[in-house]
Amino acid sequence: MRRLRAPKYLLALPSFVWYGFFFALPVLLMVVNSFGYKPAVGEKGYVRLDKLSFDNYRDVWTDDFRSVFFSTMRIAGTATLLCVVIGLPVAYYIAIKAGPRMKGLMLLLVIVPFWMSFFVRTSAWKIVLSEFGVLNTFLVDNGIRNAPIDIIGTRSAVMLALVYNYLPLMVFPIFVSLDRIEPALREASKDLGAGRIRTFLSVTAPLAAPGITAGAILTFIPMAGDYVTATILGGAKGNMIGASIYNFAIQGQDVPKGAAAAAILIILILTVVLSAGLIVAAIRYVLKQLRRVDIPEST
Amino acid sequence: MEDIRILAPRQFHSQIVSRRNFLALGAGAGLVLIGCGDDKEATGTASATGDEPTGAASAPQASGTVALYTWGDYHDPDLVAEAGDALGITMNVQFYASNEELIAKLEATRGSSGFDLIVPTGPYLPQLISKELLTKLDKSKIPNWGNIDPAYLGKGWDPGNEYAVPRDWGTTGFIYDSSVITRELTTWTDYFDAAANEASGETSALDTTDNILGPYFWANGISWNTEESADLDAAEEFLVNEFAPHIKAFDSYPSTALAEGAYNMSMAWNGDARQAYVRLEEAGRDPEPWKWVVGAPMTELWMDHYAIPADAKNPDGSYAWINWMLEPDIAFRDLSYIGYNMTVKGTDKLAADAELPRLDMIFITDEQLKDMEEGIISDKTQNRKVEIYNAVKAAAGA
Repeated sequence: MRRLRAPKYLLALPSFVWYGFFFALPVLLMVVNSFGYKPAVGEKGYVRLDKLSFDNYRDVWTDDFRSVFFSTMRIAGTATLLCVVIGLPVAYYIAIKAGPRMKGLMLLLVIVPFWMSFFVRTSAWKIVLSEFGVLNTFLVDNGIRNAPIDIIGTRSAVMLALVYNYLPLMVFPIFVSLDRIEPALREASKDLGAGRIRTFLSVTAPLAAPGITAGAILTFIPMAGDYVTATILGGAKGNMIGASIYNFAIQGQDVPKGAAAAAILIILILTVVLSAGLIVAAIRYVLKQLRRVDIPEST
Repeated sequence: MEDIRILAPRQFHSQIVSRRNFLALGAGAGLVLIGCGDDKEATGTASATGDEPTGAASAPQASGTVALYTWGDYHDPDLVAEAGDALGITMNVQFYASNEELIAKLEATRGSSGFDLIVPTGPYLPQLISKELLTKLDKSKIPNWGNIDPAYLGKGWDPGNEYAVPRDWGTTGFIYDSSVITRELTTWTDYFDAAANEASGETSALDTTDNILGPYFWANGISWNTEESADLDAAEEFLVNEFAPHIKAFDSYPSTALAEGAYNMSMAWNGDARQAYVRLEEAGRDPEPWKWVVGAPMTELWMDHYAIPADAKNPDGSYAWINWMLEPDIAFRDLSYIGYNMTVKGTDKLAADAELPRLDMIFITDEQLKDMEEGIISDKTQNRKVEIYNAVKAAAGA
């Protein structure tokens, strides 16, 4: 007896519709707006589309925009690396070393900061780091430092808060990829004579690579667009590209220009992520060739 | 159409949560619950005391929730909480960062913004009106209209006050720590000079396009509404090279960070600068060395208004709030909290009688007023100004 079967894509349909409506369509509208121009002050609406041009792109692409973009990439890139360096051992411990009950508890602790609003947990750092804050009071009162350290308003403060805010997004994907690795694989590696380090480098790390990649993408891209953290803790030194877009679109009341700046940002970030992906793929290919083991055909 | 005039675009209100803001948010959340309970009680008492004509007879009837979209930390949280008892409405307060942001949001959500009451600055009213984003006021629903000092009515941005009810006004200057900057500072030139010397890397500036550019023009005897491209070029040259490297932060609400030790000198609006003294005391620091300077030889004058968006769901609730805020003793309480001149007649006397601290920071003398100018929004310069603002920010971040 034949049964009627729904097409395979039916289950995915709601998410396609959702993404189409709330993601693809707005991005498309933004791109369309970026070719328009802003109406005169006091006219209705925020964009005119009767005359389309690339003018906004030309106006936005200035030395200032480029320099802010590069400093944003530096900040987000460094913070992503720090997230890997800190997140990998944490995820490794939770996935491999911790017992089942501990595992649940530790995963819970990793997401605890997410229970607070992004804004509040970023602002909370001000209380800790400010000149008369908890940290400096402790350092000065205990004679560890003579004068308070001025951390707020520096790149270090921005870096610290970015890593803090986005670390869980690095820990989780790495945890998931590590958690899926059968313990038998590591045992086999040991049985074949590999030490701990060799096992990690040749077995665990390559299998965790997709998790690290996912984590890097999940942290780098939002960090590149985040300017709240930078504004709260970095002061003038925390000028990130998101703030420039805000200035174009809101302070300048010029939505088309803001849209052009955002479109440029999307293209640039895609380029950066794809280039990074290509470089990683190339390195992996080379390593694979170098470490290649040819098993001789038995006769 | 004449040029649109702009006053202080205050920014990042919503982004900088002072401890007091934070408490206010908590109070707001509690208020929703209290407000619900009070609704019934309020209607109960209204009928019980219905025969008493103590102003309640003429006061507009209101109920439900009023969504107030306003500047951060700009209304006495106690009054917000008491609206349930006093008016039978629950206030839901949200913050915007600048007039531009307010307009952008109303424009983008035309017809469904969900806000019942907003507090725009005078020079932005013409564009709000011509964009048809405001409700024409029904003054019969504001019986306390007569309490407004006529000096604040009939301004160029809304000549007949058909759309907006003037609420408060103020100016811009700076506050500095005289234990670090020991010479006396009196002008914008001094501000820039101290920023480049004693307060280098410890200076904050207001985070709005006009407030970054304004002080340079004023220091040089130029109107901040100048449309001369040579003036704008010179401003960029100076601000990017001579000022930006010394800026620690662009901060429109510097009082909390200042009290935490972040700055030795901050550009600020007078009421916020006054709050810095409160914050310093709260932080256990001596506020005495801090000196307030009204910008000189020229500085800005701004005035904020209550207005009702065209798509307001509860305009009667908004009228009730506006009317209540025009009661002299209520306006005085609001003044005591925010530290700005209110437009209601007699509040200055109430403030003087109550001996509020630092009255000179709240009230502006006629002498000072002569050197203050309102802003103008001009299509000709707006883009260029934002360009300069971005350049200053890029240079400060480098």
